[in-house]
Amino acid sequence: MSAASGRPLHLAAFFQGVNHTTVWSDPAAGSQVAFSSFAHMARAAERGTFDFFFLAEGLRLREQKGLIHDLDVVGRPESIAVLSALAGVTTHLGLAATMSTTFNEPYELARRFATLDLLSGGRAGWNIVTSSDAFTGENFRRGGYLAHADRYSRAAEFAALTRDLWGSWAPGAVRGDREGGEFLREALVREVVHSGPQFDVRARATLPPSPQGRPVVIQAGDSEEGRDFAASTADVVFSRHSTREAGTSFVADIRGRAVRSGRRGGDVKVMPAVSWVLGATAQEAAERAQRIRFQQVSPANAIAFAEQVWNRDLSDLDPDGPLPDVEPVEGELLYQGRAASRRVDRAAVSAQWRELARTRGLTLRETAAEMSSHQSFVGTPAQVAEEMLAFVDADACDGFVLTPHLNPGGLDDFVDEVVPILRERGRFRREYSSTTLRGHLGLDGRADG
Amino acid sequence: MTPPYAVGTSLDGAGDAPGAWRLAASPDLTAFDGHAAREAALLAESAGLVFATLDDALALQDDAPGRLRGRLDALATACWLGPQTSRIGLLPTVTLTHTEPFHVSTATATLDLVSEGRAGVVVDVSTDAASAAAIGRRAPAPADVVWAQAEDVVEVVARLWDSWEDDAEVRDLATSRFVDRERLHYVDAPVRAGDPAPGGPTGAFTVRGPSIVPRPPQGRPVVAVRVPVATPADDPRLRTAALRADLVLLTGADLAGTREAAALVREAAGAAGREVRVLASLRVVLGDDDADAQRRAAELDALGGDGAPAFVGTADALAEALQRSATGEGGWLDGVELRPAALAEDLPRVARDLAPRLAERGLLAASPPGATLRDRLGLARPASRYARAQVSA
Repeated sequence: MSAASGRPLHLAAFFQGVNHTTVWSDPAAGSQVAFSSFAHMARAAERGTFDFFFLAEGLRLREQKGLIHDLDVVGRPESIAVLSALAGVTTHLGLAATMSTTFNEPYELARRFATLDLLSGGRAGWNIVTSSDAFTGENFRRGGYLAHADRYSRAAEFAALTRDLWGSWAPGAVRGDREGGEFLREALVREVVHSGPQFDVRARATLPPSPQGRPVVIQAGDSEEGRDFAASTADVVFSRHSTREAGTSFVADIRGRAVRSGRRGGDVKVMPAVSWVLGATAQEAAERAQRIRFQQVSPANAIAFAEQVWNRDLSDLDPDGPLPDVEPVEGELLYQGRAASRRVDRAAVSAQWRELARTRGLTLRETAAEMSSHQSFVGTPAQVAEEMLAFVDADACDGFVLTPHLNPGGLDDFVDEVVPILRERGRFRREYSSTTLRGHLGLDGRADG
Repeated sequence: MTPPYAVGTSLDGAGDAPGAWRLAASPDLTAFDGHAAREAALLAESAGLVFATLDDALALQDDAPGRLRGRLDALATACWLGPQTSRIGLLPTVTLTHTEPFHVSTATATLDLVSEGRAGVVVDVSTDAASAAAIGRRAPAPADVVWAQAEDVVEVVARLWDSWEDDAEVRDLATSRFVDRERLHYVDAPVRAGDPAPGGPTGAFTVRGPSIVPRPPQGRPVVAVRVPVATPADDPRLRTAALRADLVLLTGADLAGTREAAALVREAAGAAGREVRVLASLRVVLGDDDADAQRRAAELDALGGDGAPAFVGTADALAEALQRSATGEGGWLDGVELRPAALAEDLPRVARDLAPRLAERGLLAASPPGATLRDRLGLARPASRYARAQVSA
């Protein structure tokens, strides 16, 4: 695939919660749990002919210093239940959710996704995650005691098993012969028998394949194993690489791995999560972006961020004063329920904070706001559109997962102001040409491959 | 005071009669796209019925001649129906034996959110080898064992519903706090007083909590348990119904045949200081006259009968029989789950012929706008048990 091919991009909308990036203190911030909030954003995404709508997973409320973390949004509905409801009020939009392979069973999750896929007419997607988090495991009867090293082997075994179940009804299995009284042709329903280190299953699925064959599989791993797993298994990869250079090398790496595992490079779509801020002028947008950053990092949250890096109690610090003058501590984590906190290189990150504070003369809160800001396209609608297309043209990604900072209305300005420009450039669909998520992603016909 | 009489319907497949899918009038079910259930739910709602149930089981139905096989997950289907309906209560069957209690609690709380307070759940167990093998974690266990476990699971599920007090979300700008964590609660105390370990004697398990889902609109979705009329008083299934259910659906008998079981269930609940609503679950085959109904029953039998007891007759006679058995009339039932033998033929008769007659007799009240399922059943919205404990402390 050539770099500047002018190929169309793919867009997803992420209704987020529980991260500091979701601003709940704004007067425009609505309910994080009411169905009307999810329906609002999903309808906006469908109006904008997005590929899909996405929900993350929550299985345990986050804790800090042994107490429930109360500074960010807390609580959310169960994702497959929400997506099933959204399937009833949307017609084309893909519907994807993160579901853990550690705290679910393959047969059960395969059946829930198959149901969503059928009720939506072939619009389901599954972001596969695996954790070894005993903290989360406390919410489960079976516990969560997966060795860290077993994460990807479990994910791979889980994914293969669900895929086998989704394809276990052969074409023609559903006969529906009223005269003869044969609804299901027994011989065409294959029993899935699996015995592996993680799962021992013998099952017959209760459902046929959906109009898209099987749900789209998404992956976000970034380690060596994670990339191999994504390249061999996933249809979409959520990447963490926010610069164009890092994105280009990540995409090349994933496509290379895909080819080595017998797939075509284009069979894997790479979509980083991004935010954006619009303004009538570049300066207005930049000022808005700055305001939003301070909404995202309240004084109390600034302390909490510093505590996550330093891994020690810093509640005595003044958020509008200087950075901590003590060194970070290793050992038992102050924070639980966050995927990333285990991997932080505390010495390096705290040094980065200090360097930034010193060179720019920033307070603790200002530093926290800078350090915790995620990649953002900031500018006029035309500037944001151009910048996004430049990423795709540099082969730094195939599209973006847009994460609004406000729910439920945070996607509206992008749909109303940026999408029309992408359409005018001929780089984004004006209307859906497919009814399935695989179709939107250009993965049609590959479901049985 | 007599609770309002509750009339609901089953929505599963083509109807309660195993051969119903073979009727020319029945919708095509081969796409598994939920549309038949939606049409039935909308018709039941327009007829003013209070609730609709969706059957389920984990495993594929056994191969038997003439049977409909294959099934969508009932809970996901109920969620899908939530925003497509506006007044009718939605009660999917959820099996508790192999599913994590945390997932059951969060998904049913979410059904309550997406239906804006119309969620219920018919809890059931799995005793079959096929379900156990499909999950692959536990050997199949007999009914008394899994029902005893279910009693504890329902308790944990309900505690998770309660684990957020109603006003836990504070969005306090002054302190930057989104929630008041004093109003969020861990739930991992022993299930029964005196139990040696959390989870009780039936298979120790702990669930820490709190839930990830804030308290649902109804506080707790309505819990229903099916109890065959032949169930002995000391059976764990009946005990679970008496201790944990809001609705008990009596199965396996005609209306008259539910009388003794209704008394037994009320006695067991009363002994625990609880009140439950007792409903008959009744297959109905309706006709223009008795002969017409008999003809239809015979036709359905020929397409694949299962010998289940059914009411066969006119809507008039059914209305009369329901009235005679209603507690408000000195009878013993608080309502009925109608199981239309063929949804395509019997549900329209329920809507057109039966519902107006029930309304005339005061057995089917109009739904006030915004009424929750609890409102329509005359069940109070329960306070969180943790809020109560805090007030008394």
